[in-house]
Amino acid sequence: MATEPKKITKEIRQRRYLARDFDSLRQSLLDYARQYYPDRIQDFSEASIGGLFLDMAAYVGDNLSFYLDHLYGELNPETAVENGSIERALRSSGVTIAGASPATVNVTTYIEVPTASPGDDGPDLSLLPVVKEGSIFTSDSGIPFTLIEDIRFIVDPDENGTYIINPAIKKKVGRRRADGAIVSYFLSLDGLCVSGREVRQVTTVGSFTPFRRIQLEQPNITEIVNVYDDYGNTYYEVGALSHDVVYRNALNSSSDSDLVKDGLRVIHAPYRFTKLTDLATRKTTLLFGGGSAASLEDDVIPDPTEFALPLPYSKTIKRTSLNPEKLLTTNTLGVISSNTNLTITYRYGGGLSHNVTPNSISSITSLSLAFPRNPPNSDAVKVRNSLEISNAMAASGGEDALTPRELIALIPAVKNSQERIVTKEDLLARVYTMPSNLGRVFRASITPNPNNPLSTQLFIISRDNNQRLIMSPDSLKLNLRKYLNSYRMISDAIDVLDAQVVNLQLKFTVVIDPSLNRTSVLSVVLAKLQKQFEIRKMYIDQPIIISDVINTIYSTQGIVAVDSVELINISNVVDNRIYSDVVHDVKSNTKRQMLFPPTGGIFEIRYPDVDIIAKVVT
Amino acid sequence: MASTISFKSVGMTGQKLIESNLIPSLTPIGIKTPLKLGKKYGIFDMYTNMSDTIHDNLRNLILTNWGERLGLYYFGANLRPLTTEYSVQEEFDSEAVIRIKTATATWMPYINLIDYVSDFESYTKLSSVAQIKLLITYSVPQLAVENRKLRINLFVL
Repeated sequence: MATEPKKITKEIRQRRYLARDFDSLRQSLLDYARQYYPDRIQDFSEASIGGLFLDMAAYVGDNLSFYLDHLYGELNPETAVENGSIERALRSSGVTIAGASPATVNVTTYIEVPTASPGDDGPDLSLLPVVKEGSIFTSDSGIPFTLIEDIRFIVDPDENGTYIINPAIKKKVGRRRADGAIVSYFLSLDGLCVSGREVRQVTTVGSFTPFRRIQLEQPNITEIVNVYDDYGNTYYEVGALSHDVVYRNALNSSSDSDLVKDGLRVIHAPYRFTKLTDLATRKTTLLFGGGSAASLEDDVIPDPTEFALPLPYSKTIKRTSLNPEKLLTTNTLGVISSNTNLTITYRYGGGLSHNVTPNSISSITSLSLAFPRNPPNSDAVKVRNSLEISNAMAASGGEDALTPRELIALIPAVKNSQERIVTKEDLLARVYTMPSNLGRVFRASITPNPNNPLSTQLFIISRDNNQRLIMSPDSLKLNLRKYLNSYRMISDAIDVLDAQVVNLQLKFTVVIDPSLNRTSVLSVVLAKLQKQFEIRKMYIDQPIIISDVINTIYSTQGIVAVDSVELINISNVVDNRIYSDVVHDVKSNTKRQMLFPPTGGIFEIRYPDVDIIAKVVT
Repeated sequence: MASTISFKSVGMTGQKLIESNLIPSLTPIGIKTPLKLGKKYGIFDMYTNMSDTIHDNLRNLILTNWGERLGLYYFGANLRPLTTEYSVQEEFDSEAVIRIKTATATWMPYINLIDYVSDFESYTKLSSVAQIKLLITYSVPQLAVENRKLRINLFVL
């Protein structure tokens, strides 16, 4: 039986899915109506009711298209426009939304301190003060700078109880008596200041609320100084509420304290919070834990036996899926006390305007001064009144807050970063980015352990105050161990070893153009070689390419020929110069004009003025 | 016996033709306003005559104010504001004529406006609202519509 063509046409009505905006949707609807309903209505002009209905349908379609596009765009940070969407994208990518950055500057404090008696070769130790952290200085433009470390004119007593003047002090003769005897000294010492104001906000916390949020009153928070409640509990800032430990610096009291200022302590942080910053207002909200302080015991030590597989009446065990993190973490994600006051001290403010010019910080807004040796009050007041401040260098580091677009541009870079050490690059990056007050690793290198396939050898080396290589102090290694431990995978083993320093002496013989001054040509060659062998250009396991040395010599104007170049290993003590005790056979380790160090070794020309020796032949 | 059949009698009777629906019924063109349920052509009552459709559209155009039409903000003659802005009839008329002509030229350019007559009715005891009654004469040359009159009532609140 034949089917009517009209019926077939109606059954396979053509729909266009390309129309998305008002005009195309209206045209599409109009075409559809004219094609399939010409016998029902014909007037779709703007002035007609049919046109009105057509407009309304197209309008609805246009709206739906718009919001579909909009929502799809909001999923991608590149195309997102709503602050909420951008914030979510930034958070999920690990980008920290920060306000304006503060500037830092070294402020020099000047004081006049009398001598204990006229003519003394130094100030009266009892009158040497400590300018306490928290003192506030202000620039001419009104920018406040807070001192973030004590300026100690006098150093804490040693084990014998003897105070000494801080050796870093710059001392100048002050006033003299008529007979020429010195009666006072001008002393100066630097201290690090950071711009911005420090305020304290007290918030009353009522009954327990999980994941309580407290918004800070000021925008552009640069640092949460401390948070504590009336019960004396200190709340620690963590990257995420699932992090239950923080690291704290502790003064290094061991013998290598001159090289490693602080030790690293791991502190359990059941009372913790994390920061959320609003993209539009740049106001910060503290997000506290989800547990009550009443259940603190649960948070401190999770009991693994609680997670035993249930076997009440059954004699068989079926396969069960298990989340191993349950054994390691708590359910509370941190705790917060209830019915108390939370005191939050924070620092805020920053921006380009905080990069004040040199000598512009001169007013003292708030001064906290202590005299450890308790001098007479009248003398202490005189010293206090003599205090002046200045900044020799411009403040730096102040930056305006990053715009949403700038923050979005950071996402690709931050996505590549991670909190775990997986690759060799991860490990090196962690070593080099350890806070400098925990000790500074100058060079680090990684090689597989030939005796243990599951272990990696990490060679490290440090520098002393004269920029010469030294073995890294033990405190640094201990700090490094604790620091790396939290990032390494459980099956990874890292052996921290000292890199072997191979000291070298370079001897070379050249022919110099007789028409030129030998001394000046040689001085140029020596300067170039000293620069080539600067320690900052040397890396662990890096070979020395002898051809490069020859090239450097030969490329100097006035050098006619390079007769010989010889690298000699030098060790122990030579002419009262102390070298490393590593003996390295240069000849057997030179291959194809390249001198290779031992595994985990680094070359150093320790005394470039002496150990680069030139000889001129004619 | 041979019979003769005239070809003129071949086919259906007129009544049959209508019943078989081969004579097309009048085609609905536009929707009547105010909207009414349709009995013959579908969900709405429809005009089947082009001149009536245009007449209805013109009335709607003149009664529509700016912002009332979805998606076409400037659709309409926008006379409502004039009812409160002008108390003198001459001023109202001069502005109303301009607005009606502009709107017609924009949205219904095939209409040729001819006359405009207005009549103000003030408040009375019987009516609590004042009215402005407009009588517009127009033609549609393409449809051979001549001097058709459209009555519009505007209420002054």
